[in-house]
Amino acid sequence: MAEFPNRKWTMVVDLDKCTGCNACVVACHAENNVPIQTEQESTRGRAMHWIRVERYWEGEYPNIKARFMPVMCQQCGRAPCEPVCPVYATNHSERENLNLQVYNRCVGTRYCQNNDPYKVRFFNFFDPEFAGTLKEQLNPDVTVRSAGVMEKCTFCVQRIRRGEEQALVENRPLRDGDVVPACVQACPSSALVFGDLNDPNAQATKLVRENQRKFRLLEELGTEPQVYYLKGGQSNVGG
Amino acid sequence: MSEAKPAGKRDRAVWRRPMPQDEDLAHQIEHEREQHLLLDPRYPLNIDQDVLDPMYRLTKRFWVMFVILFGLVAMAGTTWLVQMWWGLGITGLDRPVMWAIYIVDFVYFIGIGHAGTFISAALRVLKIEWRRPISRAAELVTVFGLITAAMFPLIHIGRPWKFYWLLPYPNERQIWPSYHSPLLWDMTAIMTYLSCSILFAWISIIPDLAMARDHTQGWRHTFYEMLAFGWRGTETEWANHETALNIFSYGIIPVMFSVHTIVSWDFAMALQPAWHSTIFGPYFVIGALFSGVGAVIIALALIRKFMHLDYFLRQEHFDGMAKFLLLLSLAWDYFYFNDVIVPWYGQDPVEKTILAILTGGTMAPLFYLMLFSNVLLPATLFLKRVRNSIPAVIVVAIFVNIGMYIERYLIIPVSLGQNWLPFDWGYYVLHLPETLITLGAFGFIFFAFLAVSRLFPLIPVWEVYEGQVLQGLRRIGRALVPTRSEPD
Amino acid sequence: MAKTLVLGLFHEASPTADTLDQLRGLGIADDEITVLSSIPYRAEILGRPRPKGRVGTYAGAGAILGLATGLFLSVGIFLLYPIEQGGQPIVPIPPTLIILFEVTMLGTMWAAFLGLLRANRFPITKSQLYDPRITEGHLGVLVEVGDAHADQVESILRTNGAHHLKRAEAATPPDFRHRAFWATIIGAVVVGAILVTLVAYNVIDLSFPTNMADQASIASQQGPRLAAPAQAVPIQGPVSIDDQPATEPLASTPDSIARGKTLFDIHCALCHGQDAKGDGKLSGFFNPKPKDLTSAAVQELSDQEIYMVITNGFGPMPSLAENLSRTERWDVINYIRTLKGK
Repeated sequence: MAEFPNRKWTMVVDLDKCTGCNACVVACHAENNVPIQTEQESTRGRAMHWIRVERYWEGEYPNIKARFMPVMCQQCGRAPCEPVCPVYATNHSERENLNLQVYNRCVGTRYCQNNDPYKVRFFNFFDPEFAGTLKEQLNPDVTVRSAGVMEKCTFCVQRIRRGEEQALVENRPLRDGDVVPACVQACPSSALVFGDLNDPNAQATKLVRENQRKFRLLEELGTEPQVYYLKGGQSNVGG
Repeated sequence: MSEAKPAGKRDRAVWRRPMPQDEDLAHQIEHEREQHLLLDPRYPLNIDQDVLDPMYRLTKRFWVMFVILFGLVAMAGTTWLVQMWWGLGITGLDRPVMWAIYIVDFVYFIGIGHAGTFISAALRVLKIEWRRPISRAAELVTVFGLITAAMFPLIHIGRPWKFYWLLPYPNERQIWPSYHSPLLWDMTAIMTYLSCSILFAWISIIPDLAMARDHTQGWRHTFYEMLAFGWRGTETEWANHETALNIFSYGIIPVMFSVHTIVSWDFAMALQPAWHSTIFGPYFVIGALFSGVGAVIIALALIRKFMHLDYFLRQEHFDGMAKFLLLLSLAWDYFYFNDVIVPWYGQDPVEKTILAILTGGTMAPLFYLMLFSNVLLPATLFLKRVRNSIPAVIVVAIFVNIGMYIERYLIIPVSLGQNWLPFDWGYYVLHLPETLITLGAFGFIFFAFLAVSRLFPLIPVWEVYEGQVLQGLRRIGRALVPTRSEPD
Repeated sequence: MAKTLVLGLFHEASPTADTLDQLRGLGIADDEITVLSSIPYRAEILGRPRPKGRVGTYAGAGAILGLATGLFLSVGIFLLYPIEQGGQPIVPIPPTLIILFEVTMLGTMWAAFLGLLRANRFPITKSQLYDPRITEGHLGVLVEVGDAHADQVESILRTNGAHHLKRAEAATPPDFRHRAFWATIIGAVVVGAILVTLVAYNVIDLSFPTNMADQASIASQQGPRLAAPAQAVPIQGPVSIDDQPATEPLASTPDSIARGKTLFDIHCALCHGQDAKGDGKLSGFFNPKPKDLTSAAVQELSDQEIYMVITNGFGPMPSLAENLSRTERWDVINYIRTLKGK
């Protein structure tokens, strides 16, 4: 059995660069076989976006500002969603510091979503429908989930696996930039950066190390999220 | 060898004691007899007939109720099948309200299941005598409430056909369920409580099944003969029976407290604002007892009317239950105030929003109805006039149940609509499947009671007779005072 | 000596107690007398020795068993399946305490119930001397005494006011129904447990389709894939599309036929034979055998059909799509057409 080294996968979101274009949302849908909900379902709040751009309005017309930030699963170090699952369908990978979701073990109690302060978990209320030729587009590396199962962002764990295995086959260490989640790949302004915090030379590590602009979402809850947001001064772009 | 002495006046069997000559004393005895079941002994065969005769009565009204209730249950069953086929999307669940009416029903029915145990076990331990005729009906409310509640976790999970993964069994894949999760503590606690409640009810019904065996014929006689296990009432049988009942009484009370505490931890363990409070444990236990006692009052009222059991269930019993309901209402007020004042005083914006929704927002009508039902109306039970009127007590009990159902609704779906990130706030709208299944659950509990009322004696005759033998009237000065000797 | 059972009923407790005194005076032992009643009477009321209860011991044993089970379910399972969840330790203490409490209580009470059944020898299936009037509030005194003394006992009972006296033989026929009952119950539980274990360990294979075993996504080397609608994608050169005829065959030139023969010798002859008669060196390994390509059955197929057979395979014949490019496949087809009738 191959032994992979420990990783501390981290996502850095530079809110000063984010334009709110939602390309990351679309890329995630495409990569992870996330079903697209009908308009009716979306208005009921059942839209499934593993990464979503949260948008808040501030101020009164005509001085309205839009504040937005992309929110995906924060892959918490002390994830509140994990201990409440009665069947171990969500648990922690200590080696990679990822929060794992095992689709075929999930019985659908939905307790994880209740305990998740970021509400980044999504439940398949119906069997997802991929009409006609959309089936051809489905990514065979990612399970297509059925009704009754919870799902969430996995930091594109299938790409992480492929990257690690490729590095192993080629007998070299994993380089920064070998593993690129779909959202990071699609971001036109490079606002999303992904990397291994254990690697001192990774771009993500350099961004996070001693950065005055950094904060983590709902850090006070003690969840130890692995996503760092960077936000400097006031600007309307990116809120 | 002592000489055989003829039985003296004081030794006569309770039902054979004559009235005294003194008119004043005779009046007093008449009065006590009217008020208190345990001072109104009759020939036990008559008591047995009073309990057994209604079981044969299959009137048209009975069959109409039977069909209606069965229809409700069948409709709920069909809805569940439809829901399993199409997915939970047909309900009103959405992000972020992932737990709604099914969980409200679950908590509500478990709550109903608490009072029964309290009445039959705790009142027995405390030697409160008026519990004697009501303990069987109370235990049955517990058992049926728990069975109904136990179905809801299956109804609400996304893949119910995989429910057996929640059970710890060794398997080829060596996968086990996670006892980190409050849901599994739930499962353990409810399994314990349900099975032990059934066993408790079973143990206490054995002597009455023997009585039924002795006074019926045909298939009923065979049925009771099998279930009575050959009980004759020997001293050993009674001694072991008493020991078992004691063990169960003392044992099931802490289990009862733990069960609803564990159910409350389903919510308290979550980081959800308005849920993450340490008061949830005792708060839910008191709430459960509160709604449960209300449910038992309703059940007793129904069987008293429809089975003509007014000899057994008298004003004194409803008076006692009403006092209990009042005490629980005060306790509930205390805990609810605790639960509300802490977020009100603090500055947490989400909790403040939830409170605002409850007190002045969309949920205000339900909130104030709940306060009326749980705080104001039970306070009328302070008045003796209200307590002595059985219909008034029943009305209060019904409102208490409505109020407690609303309370659970306000805690579960309403709070879930607001959380840490306001972008993800939502709200819950009741849909048809949940309504049908809830109605079916209520239908099931009434249906089960209806079916059992024709199959098993609903009054624990042996306990009533035991009480009548042990209670008496003692003359102190000019008055006759009820006295009670303590059985071991 | 044959024994007789005598049963007499009393209305009240005092005459019952007097009777018991007198019977004791007669020399009858306490355990040969039984008092039957519809409510529990304290032993002191009737002057009887207190019965020894054994239900408590069973309950105690149940508590220990419950505690052990609880330890397995909490600590045992945590250690058997150590998976990290939410930063909690592998064996967290508060959940362990909860489970220990619940399962210990479960064990205590179940054991108390089963102990009650065992202590009272429930269900009692042998015939016993009894009177239904007991459940009408009467007290019964049941005496087991030698045949000679039965009359004496009866007179004592009558003197004290007993009514509805009965007698019966004290012979105890073997009570196999009781054992049969428990054997059935225990057997059912054991068989159930075994069946569940066999299913859980897949010895009995109850494989039924689960939701996500069949994926809608299509991996590489997996088919079938949807074809683009006709004319949707511009194509040049020969191409094969599902359910559509192969387009643009190559002209049947001598060059093409010559190439086709070479290719045939390399790729096809091993199975179909040098002369395409279906008698190649490997033909014996196939069932059905490789077809005779000179036969009318094959030659009557259209070019496109032969093309599809080469591309997709046919029965045991594998697909040669990776061995032959599209133009090469047409070369081979042109060659095969020349074999007609040979």
